[in-house]
Amino acid sequence: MNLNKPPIVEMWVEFLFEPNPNGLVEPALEFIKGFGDQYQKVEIAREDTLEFRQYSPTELPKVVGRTTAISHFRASDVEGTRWLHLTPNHLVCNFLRLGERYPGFANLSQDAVEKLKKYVEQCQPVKIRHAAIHYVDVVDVPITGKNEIQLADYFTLGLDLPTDPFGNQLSYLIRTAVKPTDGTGLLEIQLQNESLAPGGAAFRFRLDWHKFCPYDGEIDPDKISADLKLAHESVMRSFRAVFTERTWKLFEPKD
Amino acid sequence: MAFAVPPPDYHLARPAVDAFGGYHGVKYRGALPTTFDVTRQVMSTIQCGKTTYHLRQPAQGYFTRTTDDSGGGEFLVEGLPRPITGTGRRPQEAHREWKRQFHATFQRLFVMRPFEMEDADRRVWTAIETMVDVERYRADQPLIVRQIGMVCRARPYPLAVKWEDGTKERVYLERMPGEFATYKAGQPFEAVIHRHPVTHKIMSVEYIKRISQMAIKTTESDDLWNSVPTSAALPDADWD
Repeated sequence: MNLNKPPIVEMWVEFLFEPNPNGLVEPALEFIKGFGDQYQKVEIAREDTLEFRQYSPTELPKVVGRTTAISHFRASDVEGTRWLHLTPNHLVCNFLRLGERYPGFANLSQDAVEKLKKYVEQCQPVKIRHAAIHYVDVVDVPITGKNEIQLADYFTLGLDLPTDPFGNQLSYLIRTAVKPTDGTGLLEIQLQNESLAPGGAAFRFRLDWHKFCPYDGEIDPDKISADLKLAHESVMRSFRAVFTERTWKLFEPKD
Repeated sequence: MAFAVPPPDYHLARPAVDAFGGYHGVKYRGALPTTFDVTRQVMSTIQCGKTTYHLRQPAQGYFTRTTDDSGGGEFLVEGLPRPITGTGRRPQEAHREWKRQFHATFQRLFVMRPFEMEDADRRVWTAIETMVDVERYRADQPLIVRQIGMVCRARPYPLAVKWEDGTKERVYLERMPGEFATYKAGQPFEAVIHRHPVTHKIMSVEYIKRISQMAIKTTESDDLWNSVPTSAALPDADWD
């Protein structure tokens, strides 16, 4: 599927684990530090839990204990195109397209699976719950003449209400989950409008695709890699099917 | 049914359901997890320098790319009109720029009366008021006063001051500039103080300086008053 103007702006590969019950912060920190040359910026989100106790009926309760837990590491490269998330049970590798070319699924998937191997080695999760791939596409539909379009001319996924008595649609958000016929995992799709594109020359729509590869067992990176490829191919078939010919031409397909 | 360009006073604010987790205390509960989406951010406050704007409910901001492939994009917040837009090559840059735009717009409109606003300003202010707890912002603004006082208790470090009007007040070193910790009892000083607008308690002290004496004495003020030339000192004369 070769497109001169692919609508993809973001993609991530996500792994959900049953975390190691003895899991400590140090291995996670070591894991992040191991990619220090690739991800120079690290952010840490903490969650504080306060314990209150009422000592006297006439006084306000007092704080008697405080525990702090790290809930989220987020690391990124200087350019802001590659990101790595780590929570107690998630490992997520993002790519954000900021002008440069999309490096392709194979490249990003391989990168994520390599990180998965290292994560398993260092953090030793009990098992994997699911792997998932997520795509974010942004589609700009040029505004011509009447300042309105028929969504059915551009998307096969939609809700079309009668003009009488509803009039025109001003905003749009539709979310659905489907079970593809090819036997792969669940696919969740969300289509919504955003503000008009800069300059007001186009309606802007955002499409989210979230494709699951469910597991409930030990972690086999080779199998996960193969399943991610199948999941990607399944999403690509749905991706083509959600657009009409008119929209497809906006992406300038190569023959 | 057609999908149409919305009118200028229509600013959609969808519920903020996705977040970079613990930063904002908003947890994703929906079916489509976008917690890890680096283009989206849920905000419960907007912080620009020392100014904090508390939102009535979490708002969702998002980074959206430019129409060409030159890179970069815009940061927008659902519910606020496009004039408040941050641009930048990276999401963080665009977000920072958005905060400056928001701060500048808020401060410009905050001091305006409704009749002073153009239609476009009024639309923007209505959207801001819907999103931001403006009353809380107003109540949070400190009273900034210059006061002269003297340390009246300092054992082992300054604990209380007596102000020029005779009132005494407990002071906490954490809210004072570092130099204040060296002041001894009896040391007069002047300070620029941020006080709570309702309780008038000290929130922070921005500036402090030793002075030679606390205030002018009565005899000195009388001498000063008497030294001012008056018409009595002028020679007798008339208009002719």
